[in-house]
Amino acid sequence: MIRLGLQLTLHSGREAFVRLLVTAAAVAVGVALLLGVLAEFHAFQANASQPCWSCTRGAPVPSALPARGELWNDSVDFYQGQTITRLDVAALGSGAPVPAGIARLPAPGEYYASPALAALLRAVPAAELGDRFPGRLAGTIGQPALNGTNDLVVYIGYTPAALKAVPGTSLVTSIATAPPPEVFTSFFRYAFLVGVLAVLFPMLVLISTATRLAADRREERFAALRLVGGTPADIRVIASVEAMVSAFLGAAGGTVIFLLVRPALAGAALIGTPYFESDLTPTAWGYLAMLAGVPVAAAVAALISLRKVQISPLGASRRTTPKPPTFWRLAPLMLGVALFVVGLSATSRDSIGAPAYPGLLITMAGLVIAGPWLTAQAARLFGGVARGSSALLASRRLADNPKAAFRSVTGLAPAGTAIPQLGHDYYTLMAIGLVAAVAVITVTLPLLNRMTAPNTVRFE
Amino acid sequence: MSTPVVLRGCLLEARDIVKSFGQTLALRGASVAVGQGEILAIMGPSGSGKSTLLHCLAGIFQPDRGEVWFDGHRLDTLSEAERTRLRRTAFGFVFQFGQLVPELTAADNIALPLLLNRTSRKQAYKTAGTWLDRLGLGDKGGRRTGELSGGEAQRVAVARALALAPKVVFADEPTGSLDSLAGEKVMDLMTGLARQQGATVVVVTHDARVASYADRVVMVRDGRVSADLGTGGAPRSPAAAAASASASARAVR
Amino acid sequence: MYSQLVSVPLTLLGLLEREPSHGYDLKRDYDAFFGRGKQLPFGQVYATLGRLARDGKIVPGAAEPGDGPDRRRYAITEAGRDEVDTWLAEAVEPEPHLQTVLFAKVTLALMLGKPAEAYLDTQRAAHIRRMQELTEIKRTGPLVDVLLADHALFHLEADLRWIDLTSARLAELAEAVGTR
Repeated sequence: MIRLGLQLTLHSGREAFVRLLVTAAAVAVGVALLLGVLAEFHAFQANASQPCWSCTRGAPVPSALPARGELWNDSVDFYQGQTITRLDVAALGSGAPVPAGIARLPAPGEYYASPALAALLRAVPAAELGDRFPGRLAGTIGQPALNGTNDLVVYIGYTPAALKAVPGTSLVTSIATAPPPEVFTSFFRYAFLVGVLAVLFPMLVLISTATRLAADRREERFAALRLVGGTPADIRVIASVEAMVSAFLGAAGGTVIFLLVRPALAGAALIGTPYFESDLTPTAWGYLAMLAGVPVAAAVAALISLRKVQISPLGASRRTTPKPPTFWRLAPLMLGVALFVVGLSATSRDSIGAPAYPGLLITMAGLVIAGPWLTAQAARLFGGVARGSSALLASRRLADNPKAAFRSVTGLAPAGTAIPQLGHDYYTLMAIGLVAAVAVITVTLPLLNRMTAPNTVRFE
Repeated sequence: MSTPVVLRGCLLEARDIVKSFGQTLALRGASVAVGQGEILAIMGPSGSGKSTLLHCLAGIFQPDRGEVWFDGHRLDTLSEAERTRLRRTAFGFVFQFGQLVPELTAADNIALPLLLNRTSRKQAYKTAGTWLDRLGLGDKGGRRTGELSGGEAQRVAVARALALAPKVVFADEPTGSLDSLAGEKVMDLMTGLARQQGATVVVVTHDARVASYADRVVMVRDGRVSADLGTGGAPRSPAAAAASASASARAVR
Repeated sequence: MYSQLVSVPLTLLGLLEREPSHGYDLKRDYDAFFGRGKQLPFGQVYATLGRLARDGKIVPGAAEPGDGPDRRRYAITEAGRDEVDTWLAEAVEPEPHLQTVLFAKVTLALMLGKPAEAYLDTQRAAHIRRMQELTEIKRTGPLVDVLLADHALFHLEADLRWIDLTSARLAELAEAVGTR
C-alpha cells in the first residue's frame, strides 16, 4: 500500500509533480530558517555556558608568596577600537592551575595569543602592537577560552617577583569553571523561543495549506479509490505517504540550504564577535527533528484533515454552510493582550521583559483562534459598504466560511506580532523573509493549482 | 456472439428496501431480483430512486429497512470492511463519469482495484494490458485518463470493472455523457464482454436505447419497482431478425 | 424528422443528377438504396421518367443502335437540377404516426374510467421489447440492417418519450376530458 501511495504521489503527471516540488520548496525555506534559529541558539548557549575563566576571584597577595597557586593580573587593552583581554600570569610552583585554552602556563618571557590576535600581530608593525607584550609568541589560545573567532586574548608569562610588584595582582589558587552569571541570557532565551515560534507557526500552516490546496481533487481521488475497494485505512496510508514525500524532500532541501548558508550565519553574531562555526550547529537532535519530525508532522496534518472528511465511494458530498464562529473565540486573544500588558508593567531591571513573554505567546495563539471571528466581522462590515457584484460576492464568501478564508493567513498573524518584538537585525530580517515567503507561496500555490488543473469536465 | 440467458437462480436480490437521506425518502419498499448471468436494466425518471436502488444492491449504502441478498448471503448487514472488499473482488462499477482518477494512466486505473486487493504489480499490469487490448485501447495504456475522450474513458472504466473478473457489474448511466456512437460502443463492449465472462450486469438508465441492451427491464417510480417490462431480445436466426427489423421499421411509420 | 414516404420522382431525379442513366439502371439503384425490400415496378419507373421528361426536368438521349426502344439514356436538365436542390434544402413536415392512435386510446380510457396508465405501460413494454429485438439485430446483422435498426430505435425512443410525458400529464388530461 505504501508503494501504491508512492506511485500515486510521484506518477500523477507533471502538474502534480510541480505542485509537489513547490510544496517541498516552501517546507525547505521553513526548515532552513528553523535550523538557523536552532543553530544560533546552540551557539549562544555554548557560548553562555562556557567556563568564565575571567570571573576567577583571587585573594590579595600576601607578602610571603606561597608555594602553590599563581599570581594573576588581568587587564584590558585596546587597539584601534578593539578590546584585547590581557592576563599576566606568574606560576608560584609546579601544579599551578592552567587557564582555559592552553596546555601549560606561559613561562616568563613567553606569551600565548588567540588566533585573531596572532594574525593581528603578524600584520601590524611591532611598534604599534607587538612590543606591548614582552617575550615571544609561544602558541595560540584554544576555543574554550574564547567567546568568538575575533576575540583578542593574550596570556603573558611573568616571574612572580615581577608580577607581585604590579598593582592589581591577586593570588589565584583555582580557576573558575562556572559559566558567567546570567544577566541577559533569559532574555535571549525568550527571544529565541519567540523566534522559533514565529518560524514554526507559518511553516506548519504552509504544510497544512499545501496539503489542503490539493484537497478538492484529493477528495475525488480518494472517492475513486474507495469505489474500487480501498479501505479507509488504505486511504490514510496513501494520504500520509503523499504528505511525507514532499515534506521529506523539503526537509532535505532545507538542510542543504542551511549548510550552504551556515558560514554566513556565523557572522550574524548576537554577542559582538562571530561564533565559532563548530558551535553553530543545530546538533544531531536538530537535524533529526527536521528530517524525521517535519515529515511526521506533515503526515499528522494530512490525517487530521482527513478525519473531518467522510470519504464515501460516491465522491464529493453536498456542501453545507459551516457554523459561524462564535464570540468566545476572542477570549484567548483578550487574555493574551491583558497578560502582556500586565507583564510589561511588571518588567523591572532584573527581569528584562521576561514576564511579558507568556502574554505575547498567548496573544499569538489568540490571534490564530480569534482569526475566523475577526474575518467574519470584517466580511460583514465590508459587505455593508461593498459596491459592485464582485465585492459583494467576495464579502459573502468570506462571511459564509471565514475559517477557510483565514486559513491562508494564519501563519502570517503570529509572525506579524513577532517582528516588532525581535529587535535584533538578524531576526527582523529572518522574520520578514519568512513572512514574505509565506505570503508569496500562499498566493502562488492556489494560482498554480488553478492553472494546472487537469481538463476534466464536471457536471454538478 | 450471444449466449442464451439462463437464470440459474437469483444472484442478487433486494427485498422491500426503504432508504431515506435526511428528509428525503428515496426508496419506499423496492424489491427486485437479478438472476446469475442476467443483464438487468432499471429505468425510471430522475428522482425515482433508481440510483439509490443500485447503490443499495452494491452495498455502497445500507438500507434503513429491508434486506439485500447476494450469492445466498445477507449483503446489507456486512461490515464496511467486508463490503469494501467486495468492491475489489466481486463488484465492478461503471458510473456516468467513470470515477476514474484523471491524473493516472489508463493502465494504472485498470490495475487499481487489483493493486488495492494486494495483487502483485506484475500480475495487475499484465491483466490491465489484456483488458486494454480487449477494449480496443491497446495504444492508450500510457495516456492519462483525463486526456482521453469521453468514449475512451468510459471504455477504460468498463475495462477496470471487468478486469477483476467480477460477479456483478453495476452501471449507472454509463453512456450519459457520450454521443450515440460512443455510447453504443460502450454498451456493446460492456454487455458482450460481460456475457462472455458470465458476469451479471445491472444498468440504471433513463435512456430506452441503453435499456434495450438488457435481457430484462424494470421500471422504478416513486421509490418502488413498479413494472417489470419483461424479457426480450432473445436470439433469432438472421433472416427472422431481419424480417422483424423491417417489420418494426415499417410499423413505426 | 423525415417524411415516411420517399418520393419516387424526386429520388429518380436525384439519381440522374449523379450521372445520365438508363431506366433499367435507375430502377436497380433505387431498389438497392431506397427500396427497403420492396421493388419498384418497371412500369412505374418509365411512367415517372416520362412525366419528368414532359415537365422538362430530364431529356432523353438518342436511341442507341442495336438496343430496344426503352434503352434510352436520360440526362437531367437545369430545371431538374433546380428541383432537386429545392427539395433537398426544404424541411420535411414532421409526421405524427402512432401518437394519434395512442392519444385516442388514452382519451377514451380516461372518459370511460379505464386504467390509462396501464395501457401506457403496456405500450411501453411493447416498445421496449421491440427495441431489445432491434438491438440484438444490431449486434449480429449486416451494416445496412444496423442503420435501419438505428433509425427505428430512435423513433421508438421518441415514442417512449412521448409516452412518458403523456404519463406525467394524465391528471391534467383527465381533468380536460372530464370537463368536455
